[in-house]
Amino acid sequence: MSTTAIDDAPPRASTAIAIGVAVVGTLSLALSGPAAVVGAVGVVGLAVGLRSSSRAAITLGATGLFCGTLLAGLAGAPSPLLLTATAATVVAWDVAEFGIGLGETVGRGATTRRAELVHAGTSGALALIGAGGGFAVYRLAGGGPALVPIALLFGAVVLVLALRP
Amino acid sequence: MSRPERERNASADDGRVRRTGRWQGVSALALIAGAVGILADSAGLVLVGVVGVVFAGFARAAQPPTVDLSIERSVSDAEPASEQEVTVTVTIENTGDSVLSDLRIIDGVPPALAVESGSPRLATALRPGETTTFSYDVSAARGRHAFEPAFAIARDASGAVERRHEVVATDETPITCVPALDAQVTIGLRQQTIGQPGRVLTDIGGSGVAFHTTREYRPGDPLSRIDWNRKAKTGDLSTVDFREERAAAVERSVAASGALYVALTDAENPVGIAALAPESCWLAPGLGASHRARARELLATHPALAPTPPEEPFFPSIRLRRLRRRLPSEAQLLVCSPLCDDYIVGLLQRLDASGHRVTVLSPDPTSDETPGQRVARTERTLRLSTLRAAGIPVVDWGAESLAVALARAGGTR
Repeated sequence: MSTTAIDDAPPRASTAIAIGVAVVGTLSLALSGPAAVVGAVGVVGLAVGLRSSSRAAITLGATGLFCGTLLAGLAGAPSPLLLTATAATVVAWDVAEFGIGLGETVGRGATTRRAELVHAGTSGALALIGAGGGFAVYRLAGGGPALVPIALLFGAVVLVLALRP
Repeated sequence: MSRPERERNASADDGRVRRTGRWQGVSALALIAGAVGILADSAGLVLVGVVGVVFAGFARAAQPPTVDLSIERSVSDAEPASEQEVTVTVTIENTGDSVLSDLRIIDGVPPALAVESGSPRLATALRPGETTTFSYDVSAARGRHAFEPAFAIARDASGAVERRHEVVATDETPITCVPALDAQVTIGLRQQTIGQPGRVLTDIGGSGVAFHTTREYRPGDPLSRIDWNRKAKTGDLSTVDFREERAAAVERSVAASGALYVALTDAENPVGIAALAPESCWLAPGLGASHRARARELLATHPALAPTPPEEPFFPSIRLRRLRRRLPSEAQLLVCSPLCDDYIVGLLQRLDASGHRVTVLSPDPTSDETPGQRVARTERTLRLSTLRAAGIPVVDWGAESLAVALARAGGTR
């Protein structure tokens, strides 16, 4: 006997959140023309990946957004915008990948709204803590030479090693 | 659940815990951003790296969630009619004391039932003590359908670690669907009889109901058998000889359709049911309302007649030997088989040769869309011919209704 085929497309909420966040990330790159273009290509990749449930495509899309962020950084965009773009990139990728996984395991027909919102919320909060915390420390240190961010980065790496199970 | 017990459980299903590895590469993002930032002397880009490191650290620190779930399942109708829609409602409670931020449930729908609407799956987040409910509709089908354990996948908040878990519902809520035996078909039997009254006629004269012949009165003939009409007409005493009506002890082998049972028992032939299957399935021949109820129950719910493939290994020769030991010596066999392999053909010929008259009702399962299907159809046609050549009547039952197939076969005598 047959079970009705499962529509394994990513659920709508995750798709909408991922694309929305990615668009916000691209907009924050708008100060630099080339960066915004690369970022927009990344958003398109992300959307295509969500449409075809392809993890490779969403990862390429997120990489595009990240390359846009690097270009903007090289073009001298201010730190808050760069942090916004990066946080948006990571959250968009996370939510998109989560949506694809949900589509695979439970399908689009199932009730998934709550899991999606909780995941997107966690992801967003984490990105906010990372970007906001980093920026706050950087500000408190007086925005001096690149030594402070390097110290921050070093501290974060140490944190990773310490948390390693 | 006490802590040591939970820890034991956690270690018991360590094989079901896995790291999804979805955050692999996010530290590369951090390092690239940091490196480019340092080389380009851009503080902003180095800061960008911090975001990546935070995510990498969060994923690294992830621990598999503890899954303590209680599942309650209820069905809107435990004994539905065939094809009726049954609503299954599943309530899940997080009985543990940790938050399940990403919980996916796949309910164990009985394999033979099809989900009509809704989804037997759910993704949600549950705080300790919180419950959630979802429901879906299945279409009832013949049989007794037990639910399988629900499958739960719980991931930590970052999605880096997941634990898979099977959860058995607190109550077993099987769906039992016993369709009515009400098809109107007629089936002929082959000429083989036992000494019980019934309406399958034999050519042996004797005491019975149907008129056979008259002969001259002989002293000692019972008065009730004197042909009084003839006496009135001609004045001669003559005795009516009746055809002995003997019921064929009819055995039906594997039968998905109770129509034949109804048709035969309506004609007062004792009918039993047996299945040549891994599980023993046997209903001794009989008649009457209670026997019919048992037959209906057996046809509906016996695991040997379930639509799902059997799980146990099948040793046909052992099963056949057991079946033959149980068969009354003069039992006829009415075999329902799609005749999908050569083994059953030889088996039927052996049974027929050993004195059990065999009639085959063969539902045609073949199709002719692909060359392979056409080959299978040809092979089955050849098997039918083999049986018919051996003197075994075969009703080939195609897409038409059973009554039409039997009528077209013109009785299987």
